[in-house]
Amino acid sequence: MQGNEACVEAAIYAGLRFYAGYPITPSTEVGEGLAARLPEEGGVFIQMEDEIASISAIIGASWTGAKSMTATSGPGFSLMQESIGYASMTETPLVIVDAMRGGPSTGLPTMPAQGDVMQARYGSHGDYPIIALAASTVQDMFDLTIRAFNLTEKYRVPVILLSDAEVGHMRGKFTVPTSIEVIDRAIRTDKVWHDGFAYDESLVPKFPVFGSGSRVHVTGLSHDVAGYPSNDPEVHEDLVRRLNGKLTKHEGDICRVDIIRPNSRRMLVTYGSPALAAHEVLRSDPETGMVNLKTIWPFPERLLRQAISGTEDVVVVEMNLGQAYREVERVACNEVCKKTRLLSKVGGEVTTPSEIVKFLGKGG
Amino acid sequence: MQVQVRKEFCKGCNLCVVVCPTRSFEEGKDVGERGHILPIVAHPEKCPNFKRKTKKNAVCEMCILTCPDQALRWDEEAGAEP
Amino acid sequence: MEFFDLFREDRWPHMFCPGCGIGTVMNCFHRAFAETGLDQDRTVFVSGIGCSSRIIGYIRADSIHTTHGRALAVATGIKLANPDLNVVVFSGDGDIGAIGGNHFINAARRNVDMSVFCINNFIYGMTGGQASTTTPHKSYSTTTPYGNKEYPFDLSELAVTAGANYVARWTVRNVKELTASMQKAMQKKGFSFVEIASPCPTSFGRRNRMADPKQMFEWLKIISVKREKSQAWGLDQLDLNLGGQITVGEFVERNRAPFGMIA
Repeated sequence: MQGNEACVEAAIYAGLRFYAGYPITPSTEVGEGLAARLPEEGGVFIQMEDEIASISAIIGASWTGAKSMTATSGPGFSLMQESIGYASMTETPLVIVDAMRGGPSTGLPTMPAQGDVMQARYGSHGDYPIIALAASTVQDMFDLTIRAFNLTEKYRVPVILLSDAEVGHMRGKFTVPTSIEVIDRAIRTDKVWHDGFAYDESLVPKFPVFGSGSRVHVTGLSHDVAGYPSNDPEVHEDLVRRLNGKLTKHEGDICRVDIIRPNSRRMLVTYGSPALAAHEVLRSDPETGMVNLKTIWPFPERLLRQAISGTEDVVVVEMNLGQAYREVERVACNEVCKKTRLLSKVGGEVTTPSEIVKFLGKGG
Repeated sequence: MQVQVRKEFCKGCNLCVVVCPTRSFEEGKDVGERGHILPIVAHPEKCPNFKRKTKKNAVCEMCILTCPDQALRWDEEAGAEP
Repeated sequence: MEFFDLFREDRWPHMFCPGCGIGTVMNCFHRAFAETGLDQDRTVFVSGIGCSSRIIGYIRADSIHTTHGRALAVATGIKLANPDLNVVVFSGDGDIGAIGGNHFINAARRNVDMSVFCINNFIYGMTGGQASTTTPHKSYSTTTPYGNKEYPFDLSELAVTAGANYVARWTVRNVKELTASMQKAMQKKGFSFVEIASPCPTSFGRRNRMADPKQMFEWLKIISVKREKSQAWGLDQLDLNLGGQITVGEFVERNRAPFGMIA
């Protein structure tokens, strides 16, 4: 199956009920697949007039209790940023698949790159929490799509699934596990006329579904626990700190990386399609290990630090001018200064094993 | 019954004075709680509902429908003797 | 149903200026909603950004105050995900006619079953009085200090052309007709659009020599004319300055199949 097709099946498995999207290479197959499959499963598919309408529609659908998703690429992802911030502020669960392609701007529509990593974290304005996962194989597209839904339903933070033109379009085999955990949002069942956003020690409010008598007011303005707009500085600080606190508190559950041979003399840190090349290199180089960042945001600091604590040479392999690199360098230098080098490729073609070997040979 | 002006809501826009077809209202002189000069029901007897007893069979209601601050409401106790 | 059964009394007095037409729209909406008999717990209100969009925060029902211009797209998502819900949109001239224009014409084209109440005050009020796409030609605003060089949209005619099932326009002076139109809009299947010409004495009035709410009310009386008698009636005679008039009345009432519903 194609990576994008695996994503379609995984979404349906996870309980997707509503998809609104706009075609854009290389994510179009996700929408096309769901246009055929979702109605078969009793869900709703609609092609909207642009990406902004798409993300707005899935926000609305999510508030009726439906698991919702859209898929796009760089230019569409840029358009969606305001609404992503809105979804984060209002704690609306939703999944956005961003199949990254050559940029900036229209760039290379049919070829892979990884230039949206920082945008996934900081694309919208203000201090808002966001979760971003990165898929490197067809298996990942299946597993991480389900994980994306589980995380967004559990924490009410929008989740971005970063893939790229290579992973989205490549064909491969994958295994469907015999049992898959599917998490649904915790629903508020009492009347919530005055405290629609009340929360407990998990920091995640229970979800008041539209049409259930909650009479909840939802707004992107800074708001109190009733959901009413407020510009009180204390209320605002409480809100913003709690929203971001959801991620710091549950970081252990959210962050996952794949590590092979931790603390080797040399460690490759990578994600997405270059991880395939890294795997190849490890086959013939026993002194090199790798970290595959399955979770990119929140950045898995603790896990990375543990994996590279004995390493002399950390090499970040990514298809951009150095985005995850900045985070890795920060983490590596935080306690003891480590030499961190970047093997960067701007995109259009996936980094090859021989390019990595050649770069390693140069020093470090 | 008579229309009553809720001083805690009225912002003195005086649109009631403008829309009343029988000119029941007039601009007032007293300043309300929030600094606005409030209108008064100067001629309640001109209101077509003056002799009605309950708001359920009220007619007109241009003032209540227009008031942007929901400051007008029926006082069923006041008004002409039933 | 009393007014404060439908509205949140704990948030009164509301934030709208003295003489603001939005307050009047609330009264008409209350009466109209009570007449429809719709279930308050199964009705969802959606709005964008602007003074008009704040109205839903005062209504005692599920409501979502979204980003500027996107109310209709969010409303489409809500209605399609749960067709049993009644969807009512409150929005403004900028939200619908400027930044949200694309979503407006597409929502009307799809004929999604929802009621859209566009409170048109001919200005951007919330942000201090900038020109809107419905600001009359030669009017003054903070961004047209020498008089507006542009001509306004006729949002109601746009809705008609895009395919809405029911379109009407009234001013806040026409309280009885407006109440009836709002009721009709909510009871009719398909995309219903009611445009409400509303006074903004603080932003529009003040810069155009009508600072007093009473003056704006007088202006609305002079400038509005029943559709059949207006010079701008009919698309072939459309004068983009609204014929110097606001035509009021019901523009279209038809029965195109609403989106997603089996005809």
